[in-house]
Amino acid sequence: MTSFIIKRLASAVLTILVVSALTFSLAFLAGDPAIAIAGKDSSAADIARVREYYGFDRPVVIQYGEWLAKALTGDFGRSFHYQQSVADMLASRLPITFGLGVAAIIFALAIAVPLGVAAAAKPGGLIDRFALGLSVLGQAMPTFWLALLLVVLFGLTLRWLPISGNATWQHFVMPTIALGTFALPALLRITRAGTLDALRSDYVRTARAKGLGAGKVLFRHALRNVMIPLVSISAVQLGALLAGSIVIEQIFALQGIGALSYDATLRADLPVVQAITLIVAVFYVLLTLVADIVNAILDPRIRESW
Amino acid sequence: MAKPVQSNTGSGLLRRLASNAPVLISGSILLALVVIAVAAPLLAPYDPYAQDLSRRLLPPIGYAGHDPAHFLGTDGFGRDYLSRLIYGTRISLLIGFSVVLIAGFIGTTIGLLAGYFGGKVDQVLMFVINTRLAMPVFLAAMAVVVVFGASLTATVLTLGFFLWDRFAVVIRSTTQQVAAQDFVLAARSAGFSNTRILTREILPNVLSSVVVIATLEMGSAILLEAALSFLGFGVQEPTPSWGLMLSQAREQLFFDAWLIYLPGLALLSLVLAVNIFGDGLRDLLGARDRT
Repeated sequence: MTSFIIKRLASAVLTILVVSALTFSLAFLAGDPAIAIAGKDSSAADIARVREYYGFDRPVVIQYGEWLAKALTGDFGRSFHYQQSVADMLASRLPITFGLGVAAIIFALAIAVPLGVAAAAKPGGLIDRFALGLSVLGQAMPTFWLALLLVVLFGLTLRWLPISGNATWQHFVMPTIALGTFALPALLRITRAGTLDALRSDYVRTARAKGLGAGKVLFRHALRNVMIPLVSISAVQLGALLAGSIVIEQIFALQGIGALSYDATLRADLPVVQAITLIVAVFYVLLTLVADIVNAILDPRIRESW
Repeated sequence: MAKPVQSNTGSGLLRRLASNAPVLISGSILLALVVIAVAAPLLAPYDPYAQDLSRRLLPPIGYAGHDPAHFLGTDGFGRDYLSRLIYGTRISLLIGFSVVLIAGFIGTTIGLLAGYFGGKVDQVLMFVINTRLAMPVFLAAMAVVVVFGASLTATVLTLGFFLWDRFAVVIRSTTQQVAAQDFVLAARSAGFSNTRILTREILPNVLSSVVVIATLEMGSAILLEAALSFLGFGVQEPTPSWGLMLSQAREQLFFDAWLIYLPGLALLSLVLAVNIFGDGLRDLLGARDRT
């Protein structure tokens, strides 16, 4: 077990090193970053000053080492455009994106769990077909188009909900529905498959034989079986959810991380783009690391495959 | 267990195809969209790039002020909306096919090598796959835009170089199963080279999985392109991309909401047809437990 954890940990560290090196090298693929910051029309002296100020005149390996060491302590440098600490900018915008993400996941789970369990209770039945249709539709639905349709219906036609900003909770209703629909298909499929698995298992058969009611069997035993995959898929989908959040925050003018990455891309504000990419990558690596170790504890066969 | 590929060929497959309604319907829609894309110059009533600023934002049929000369109206530059929608099919399918071609080639190669050679080769390639999975596609595409600027080529290359993970993971495990079968062992003991075994013995037997994943990944590629173009980080004006059309339609949302309906509906129909076709193909080819 210890050797598995060490190997898995080493692989995770190596992955983070490779991803961070790629992220860091973006700055140099873009051409001379000093010219980019100072502006194309700047004098040679100005460019030299910028180069020295940001430390671009030193060897690349040293710059990378320093950048990574700082990044690991939460210091991502200064935004080229806003001249502000990237970490501060991220911290001030995190609550909105985090809140939206959590709301979207809760919205998706509130539909996926009851519907998935009901679908699995009677495979091929009416509810099952509806669930399948919903997940197929959700998967093909362009999130940003759904968001626009919601704006037209609830914002412009019915005038029930505000269409931009983040002043009140009402401002989060449409973004939550749009982003939640994006997360729904995967959660629905996992719930249905997990419940089906559980219903075929021995312990559920035993529970049924003991005379436990169908509803109790479903929600007490089957659902428990679905919890771990549900949590891990929600976690691993973080990157995808943030990607969805970029479009949604942009449409509804929510000032979260997604809107920030849109803004940073538009302004070629590299330190911000690098920081967001690296944070999402590290999160993914850590979450899969934890999931793999938990699974290895539960299932010894996984350890041997390493 | 992998079923031998032989049973999937010939009339049996056709018969099952004919009795599978979802595959038939989605396949027909897909075929129709491919025909529209190919025959776009013949079908489009106007040049999709031709602007007429005196005829801006004409509403489609059924709306007050509709001009019969433009069945689906005109956009903010006075360009014929129907013509742009028709040409948009081309862009979506072109990007879908190109991305899947690049990603399929990279992923299948990695999967074949990792699955066939195993051991150290497998470990290194698995590390490459895991590293790729740690990089979020959408953010990576935006980072590429920061560095190289946005264009159709940049979009295709980025998505192509990023969406190969599923090919690699599935083809790796399929290859492991195929490589353990008797005919491969026989080919090995007959002294055939690894290249020959990989291309002549194993590749034909994993090809059905490649086709299934390619179909499903095409759906993702089309949606990603549309989202990137919507934000201005994908296909650029004046190219008629559905995502870009939605981005421009959004600016008129308060006055001409109709502009957003059709490009989105076109996008949804195409991806829906592609995904249902891919799912059906997976069932038909008996590849469900592999993909």
